[in-house]
Amino acid sequence: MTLAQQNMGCIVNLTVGNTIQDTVVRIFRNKLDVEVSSSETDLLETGMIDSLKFIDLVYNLEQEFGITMPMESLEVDQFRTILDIVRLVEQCKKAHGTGTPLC
Amino acid sequence: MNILGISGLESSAAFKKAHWPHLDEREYRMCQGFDSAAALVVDGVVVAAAAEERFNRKKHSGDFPAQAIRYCLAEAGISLGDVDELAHCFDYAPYRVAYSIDPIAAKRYRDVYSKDALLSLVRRDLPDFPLERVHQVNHHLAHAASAYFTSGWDECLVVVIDGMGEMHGASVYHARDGKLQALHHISAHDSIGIFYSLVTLHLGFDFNSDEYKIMGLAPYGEPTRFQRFFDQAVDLRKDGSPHIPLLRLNRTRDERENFVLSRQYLSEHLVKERHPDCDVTDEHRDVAAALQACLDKALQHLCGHFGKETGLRRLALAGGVALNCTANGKLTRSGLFDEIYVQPAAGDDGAALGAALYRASQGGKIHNLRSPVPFFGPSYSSQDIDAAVTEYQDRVEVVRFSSYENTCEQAAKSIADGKVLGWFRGRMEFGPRALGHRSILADPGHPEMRDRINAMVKMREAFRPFAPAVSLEQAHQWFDTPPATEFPYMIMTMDVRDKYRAELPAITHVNGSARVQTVSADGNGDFHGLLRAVGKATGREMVLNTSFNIKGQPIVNTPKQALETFLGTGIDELFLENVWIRRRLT
Repeated sequence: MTLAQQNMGCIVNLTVGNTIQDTVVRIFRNKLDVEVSSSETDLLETGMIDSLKFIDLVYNLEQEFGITMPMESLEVDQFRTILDIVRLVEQCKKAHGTGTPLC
Repeated sequence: MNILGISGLESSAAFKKAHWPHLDEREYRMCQGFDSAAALVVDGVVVAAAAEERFNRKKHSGDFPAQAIRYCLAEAGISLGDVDELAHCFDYAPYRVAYSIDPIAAKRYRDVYSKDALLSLVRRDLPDFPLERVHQVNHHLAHAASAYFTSGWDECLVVVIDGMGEMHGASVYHARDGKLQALHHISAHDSIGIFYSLVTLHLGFDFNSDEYKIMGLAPYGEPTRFQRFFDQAVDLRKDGSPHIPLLRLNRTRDERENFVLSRQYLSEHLVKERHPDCDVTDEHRDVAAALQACLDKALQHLCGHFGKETGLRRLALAGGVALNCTANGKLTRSGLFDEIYVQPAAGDDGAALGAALYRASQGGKIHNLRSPVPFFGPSYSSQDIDAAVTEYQDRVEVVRFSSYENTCEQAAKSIADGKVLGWFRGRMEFGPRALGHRSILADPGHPEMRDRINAMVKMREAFRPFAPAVSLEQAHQWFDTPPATEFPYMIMTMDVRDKYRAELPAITHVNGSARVQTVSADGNGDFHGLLRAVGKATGREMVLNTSFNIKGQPIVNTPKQALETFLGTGIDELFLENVWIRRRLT
């Protein structure tokens, strides 16, 4: 089994296209080596994200979506599920677009 | 401005023991915060620096560096109230959210990493110190500052590589006009330092402590045998970064804490884990060789990428991985840079210095000076020495020389006679290398000297070579280096010239290399004077120079510790400044 295969722990049930959710799932797979089984999986309870992966995730979300996510403004629950992350990204994109203080 | 920098995370090891009580003792080193130290910068000038282990005598101690702080203040003749800032070389605050991912991480943040945890130690050990003067500096930024602000350069590339700081395994900076601009950070998930340490542990040595032993083992092995494994394990990407998927295999908190699945992967795909009591075999030597080659390549790839991107031809290095002198030597000879400077206290002790220098740079100009040798620790007076000698007077014969020249003449004679000397003078070195002030010295040409010193003092693994100190004038004669090129920190390897390898068995490694310290009259005058005298006696201005300590002990600090170590081992003679000490024959 290759390292890549070992890193993929779950069967993928999420279709992948070009929505924000699709991009987030792709970040999880390609950048964090994590396959998420559903948009409602509790990423924290299941230990799929640790501190380091969290930092990598934030970095990749910023890069991919052209947003800024200052660490001090973030809360853990905003990253509990894929859906939560999508919601956060939408907020950040809106805030980025209006020039108002960031999420 | 008086700025005290500190390193270490006192509660870190205890936290790990409390939450993972059933680990092997060696596994408790897999945590942050060892090597605490204190460093004092006064008006932009480094005045004092020392590791706490040299005072509390606990090797690699992570304890709050109260004694080192006391020393620094005494050296500068100031009191705690005169300190404008206390700067710690960790700043986890920006990552608080990341560390609240799970309850254990959150507790660790509160109890070990947070500013509140630091302040509770300050309150305990420095009770009158105003807490608003306590600051924290990002770990890699502190390492970078320790390199840049002691480089003597106005502009350079700075690369920091260690196990990890708060979150990163390596960081790259463009240093210019007193500022450090971050160019790139590499996640700790891709930390070449952690990878090297994991393989070190897997080979039966200590994590975050014995990596240099693996470096010493490597030349005995054949790097091609396991090259394919390491080429796959560490993918070198176009952006300069290593990518190390096996560090990401761990899923649960327990697995991540102790790299359980990563180590299992090593067992299944590389080599079975070696117990420390089992013999080191060719298989282990070949793994060490391939691992070292992998690090050499990764370091050149990372540094070379950013050297090319920035056009900078001067490189400053810091972080624990920068203590790997084999990789440093190969990087030097790669031609990727015109000059390379490695801050001699490249590990976390040096991050204390960096924290102070960084905060000093924020408040004013730094005297960015390349120190010829990092003699920043305590020295001891003739009264101190006399008091120590008096305590042991029934066990020793003492001769007091009236001049340093006479001292050197006798020491050179003893070395030429094949004696092993303890050599203690001046201010203690800052950083892991003894550079002529807390050294054990001997003739490198004596055929049995390596085994003798190993047996009598160091009780080290037989495969580890000792290192030479040579006068700058003669360095190019014995070693493959250009004339008058300085390597004063014993942090680079180079080849012993072919025709002299048989003549210098004690310091020539199996592959013909040596970790050389060049000694100049301007930079390290006393030691240079000794080497001149040795040259007259032996025909070589060179000594074997190893640190003055026995196995498991920090380098000696005080005259009393030097005497005790001398009397407790087979060292033949001791020089405490100009006092020549031999065992009294009963």
